[in-house]
Amino acid sequence: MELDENVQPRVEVKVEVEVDALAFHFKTRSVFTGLDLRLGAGLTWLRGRNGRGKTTLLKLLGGALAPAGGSLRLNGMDSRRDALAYRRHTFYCGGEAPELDWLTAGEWLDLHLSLYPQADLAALQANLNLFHIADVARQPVGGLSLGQYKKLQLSLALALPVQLLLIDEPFNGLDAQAVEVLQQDLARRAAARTSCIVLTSHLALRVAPTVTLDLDAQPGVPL
Amino acid sequence: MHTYTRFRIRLTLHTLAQLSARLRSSGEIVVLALGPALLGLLAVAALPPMYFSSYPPAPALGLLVVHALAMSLPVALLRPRILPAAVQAWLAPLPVPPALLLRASLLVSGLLLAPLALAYAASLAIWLLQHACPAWLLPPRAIAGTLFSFLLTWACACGLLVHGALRPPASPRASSSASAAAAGGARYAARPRPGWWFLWRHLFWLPLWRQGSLAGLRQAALLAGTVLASALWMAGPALLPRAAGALMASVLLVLFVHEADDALRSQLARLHRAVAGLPLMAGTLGWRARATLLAALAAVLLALTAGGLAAGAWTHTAGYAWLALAWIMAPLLVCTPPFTPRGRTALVALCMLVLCATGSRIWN
Repeated sequence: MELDENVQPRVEVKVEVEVDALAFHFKTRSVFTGLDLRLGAGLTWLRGRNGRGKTTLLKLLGGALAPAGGSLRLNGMDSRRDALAYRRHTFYCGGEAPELDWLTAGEWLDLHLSLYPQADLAALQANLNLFHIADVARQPVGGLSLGQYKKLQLSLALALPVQLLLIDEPFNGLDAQAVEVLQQDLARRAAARTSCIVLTSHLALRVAPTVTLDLDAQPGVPL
Repeated sequence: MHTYTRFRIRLTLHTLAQLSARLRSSGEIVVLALGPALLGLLAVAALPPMYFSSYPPAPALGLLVVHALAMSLPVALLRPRILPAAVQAWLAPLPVPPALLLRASLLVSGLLLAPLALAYAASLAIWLLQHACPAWLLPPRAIAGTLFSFLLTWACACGLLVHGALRPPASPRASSSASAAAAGGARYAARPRPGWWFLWRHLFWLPLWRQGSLAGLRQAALLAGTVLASALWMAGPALLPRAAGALMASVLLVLFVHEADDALRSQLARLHRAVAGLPLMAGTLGWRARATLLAALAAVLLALTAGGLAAGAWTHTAGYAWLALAWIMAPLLVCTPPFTPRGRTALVALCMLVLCATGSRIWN
């Protein structure tokens, strides 16, 4: 029997994200007051009105913000107790103003690759080519356009071997060709179910999400 | 007053408030330690224009023009703060009539030069009202010369501000690295996992030199100054008393350590948020960065120790004490937790005083 090289066997990986009694407050308001969630492998579309805490939730899940209460676990790893191991398995891809803006795009990638040693370098190179940003390596990250910076982040994010990938408003600032590339990649990942991808977008997705999570309707999210 | 003029004045006052808040703690120490010297400086503020006025008209005019230009230098240095690039970018295209722009710039430059005007007035009063004036001092010419110098400084400062408000921020020149980037992209291939030096270079070294940061240049200048002053101190040339060498070397060494530590603390604060989601522990990163800084400072101190050994500096109690204090000062400044800025300045000043006092006794 011959196997078609393009059809990969579907091997589901168990990915479990547990959010229990999550609390987080800004100085002026509370964002979460006891949020409970369970996320699994596949593509989760996180929706909600502006200011409901979508980005904050992604940052909390990625370890970029520390919760005021409650717990976040990825496959049993606690975001606080096992902080380093937890972060090695998550990546937050978002933010329009570049952090580490003194680096060039190439140095920015090198730094991340040094922190995620299992990254797929061939995939990274392929992503950079697909997004047409293979030539920006020597440009300062701070000098990239919004779309270029987004593409740089996505090229890296889609090459990392993380179990929890958090993508914040990925379509903002992307050109039509890049949107197409990203949609195809997300569709493939959603079908493969090898990792948990949580994505926020105000635009309707052309990819069928595994789960749609509406923060407006969640208990533990103050009105 | 026109809204535009009010805005420009508020922007200036805001900049001055920021600057004075930044210099407050160090200013207090300077006033405490150098109060009488500062009063003396105030008295001689108008001395150069008064003295130049006593020359024949042609050289007097030239010297007064040079002096006036030099006195407008602080305004030139302050201009990027008074008109930050972001403000400049939207200020330049506004349809502001030239007369309004000139009026606003005159007021702003007047505000900036008011302390200089007061210093000139005080200095003129001190020199002209004393009973026995020096022979070279010709009161009418001294007053006219000082006034001319001040008005020229004011005109220069105003011109600088008008030029800044009219000109949109310049686009940077195409760099060789940008053209190289356009030529071809980087290829990512498997490589060994980089170690601490790689992280240190990316997170602590490169920010010292990029995005217009002057931290690297300041540290390099202070290091060069420390090495030069120490070499002069140890060599003891006839023109420079040993005590002066000790003073320079001690002050520059403490300033170098303080500057390096300050830059590290600022960068750690910046990284606290930037690397929060990455697989890096901020605490471990901080301690490793401090250890690296201490290793670099130890290399400088080691060179200084070797230099002193060759010059026979560490043979008496004062020498041993200076050496021990210098080696203690670096970890003390680097490892002391951040408390109030005033407390920090006091600690730095104390280190300087103790090292200066001990150092000046080595060849006594």
